[in-house]
Amino acid sequence: MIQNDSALLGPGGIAFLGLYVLSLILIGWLGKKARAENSLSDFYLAGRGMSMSVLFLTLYATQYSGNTLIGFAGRAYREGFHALVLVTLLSGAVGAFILYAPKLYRLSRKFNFITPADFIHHRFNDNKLTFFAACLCLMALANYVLTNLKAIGYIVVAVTGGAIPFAYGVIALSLVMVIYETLGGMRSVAWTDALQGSILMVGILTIFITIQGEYGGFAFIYDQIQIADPSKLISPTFTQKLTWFSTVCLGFFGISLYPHAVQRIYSARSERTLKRSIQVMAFMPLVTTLFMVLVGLTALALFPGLDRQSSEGATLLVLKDLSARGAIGTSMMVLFLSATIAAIMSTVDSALLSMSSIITKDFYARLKPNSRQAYLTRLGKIISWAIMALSVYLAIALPQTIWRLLEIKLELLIQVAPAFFLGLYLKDLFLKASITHYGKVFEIYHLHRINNIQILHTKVVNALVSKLVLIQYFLFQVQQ
Amino acid sequence: MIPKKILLITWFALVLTVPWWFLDGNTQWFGLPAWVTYAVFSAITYSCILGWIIQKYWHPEDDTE
Repeated sequence: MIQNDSALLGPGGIAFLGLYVLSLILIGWLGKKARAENSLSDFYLAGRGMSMSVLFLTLYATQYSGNTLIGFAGRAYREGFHALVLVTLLSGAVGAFILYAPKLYRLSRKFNFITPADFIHHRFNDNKLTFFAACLCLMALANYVLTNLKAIGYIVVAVTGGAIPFAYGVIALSLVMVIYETLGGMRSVAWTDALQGSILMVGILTIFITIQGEYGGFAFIYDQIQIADPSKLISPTFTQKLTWFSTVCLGFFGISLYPHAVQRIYSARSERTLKRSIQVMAFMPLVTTLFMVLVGLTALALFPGLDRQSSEGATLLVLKDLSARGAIGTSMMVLFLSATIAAIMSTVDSALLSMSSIITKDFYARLKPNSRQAYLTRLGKIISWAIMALSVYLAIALPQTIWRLLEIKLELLIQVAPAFFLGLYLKDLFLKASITHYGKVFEIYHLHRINNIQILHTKVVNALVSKLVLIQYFLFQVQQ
Repeated sequence: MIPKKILLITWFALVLTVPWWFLDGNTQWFGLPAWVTYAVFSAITYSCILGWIIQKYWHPEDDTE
């Protein structure tokens, strides 16, 4: 929690931020007006008509969230230069997109997929497996919403100097998100994402340039860390290198399969649009994650000795220092804080929409296949409100740090990866093999938990081991 | 698209982004510990490789725009 009681913004700045947040509801209403039909495809995939600019910005705003701006800087503060792994964590996800997005996009057009589990069902034609994959996606998304709601609470406290308490901030901004999300579905979310993504990009670039000018970038950081905590400059040990590789695997198999990212692949107007968007995304870790790691390292250089919880506010500490030095005025402070709030909101709304679509389409519509599209859309909106209410309660009640919650989320998502990656390219992959995979996953998961193995992320090991099981089974089937 | 070839290139490049062969923080490249400079440059190179792979191997079927 932020300890400093002084507010980052005065009443004018806070009023401007408030107006910006409320303007998102207007965009949500415009999204509703642009609705072509009252169907799941229109509500959850914006009628599969996203242009390149909107698709790129919504992918960008969704992928880079409160985790990037708050959690990543916090981790860079705690781990020093070892946090550079976060740059390739995000790049790895784009590498995975290249492998599966083209084929999945073509299949989604042909078979009208709405959710990621639609592909699993199409490929393996088994309800149990589809439900299981949908459950994993739901759990990961719930975690995603939680991390970002926590981040938004920290921001509100810092912006207002505690005048608005953590819980009230979370509740107010969650309310705005759920209103515009239920007004226009994916169209509203993507349009607000486009605005939020633009603000995010400009905000991060601005803070990076300001830090370079004010402190001196890498050279300043290196000199200061060498004095304050030289252990953070030492090359990773072999064990740490393994963890580095494991983290990159989390990005490749986990982040690439964010259900809301998969749904954006379905939403592209054309394959060419999708290709261009992903191509630009390949470079975004360099101008987003790398810059935020630098912010965290700058905080380490300036304010060494913070405890784990305080380090989560590293970004805000740097902002306060820049403001105190007169390096940034109120307008720049408002810009960066808008970018931070934008990053968080764009991620939460996307995850919320995805959760609503999974419950509506993968559970309810599969159990009651004759339900009308208009009814399902209405049901989806009610579900969004229920999910948000529960998430807000948990965000206020749970004590975990942002990074730990992020790890749990990716460890869950990575379990869906084998069914996607192997399912797309191995023609003779059988249902039984996938069930074997999930059985092995839980068996090994508990074994690792019991033995408390920390080197590799437990579920990365699980996924890799269970892939071997899958391949063995596949080879066995070929021999048969 | 040629998935096997792409899989090979992307994974080979991804594995190389880990600073495997640096043992201490004393060697310096461009004023920073060598492994830090390596990690930054390998991340930049990896992004460039991804951009190149998309350009070279991804041929959209519905080139309608």
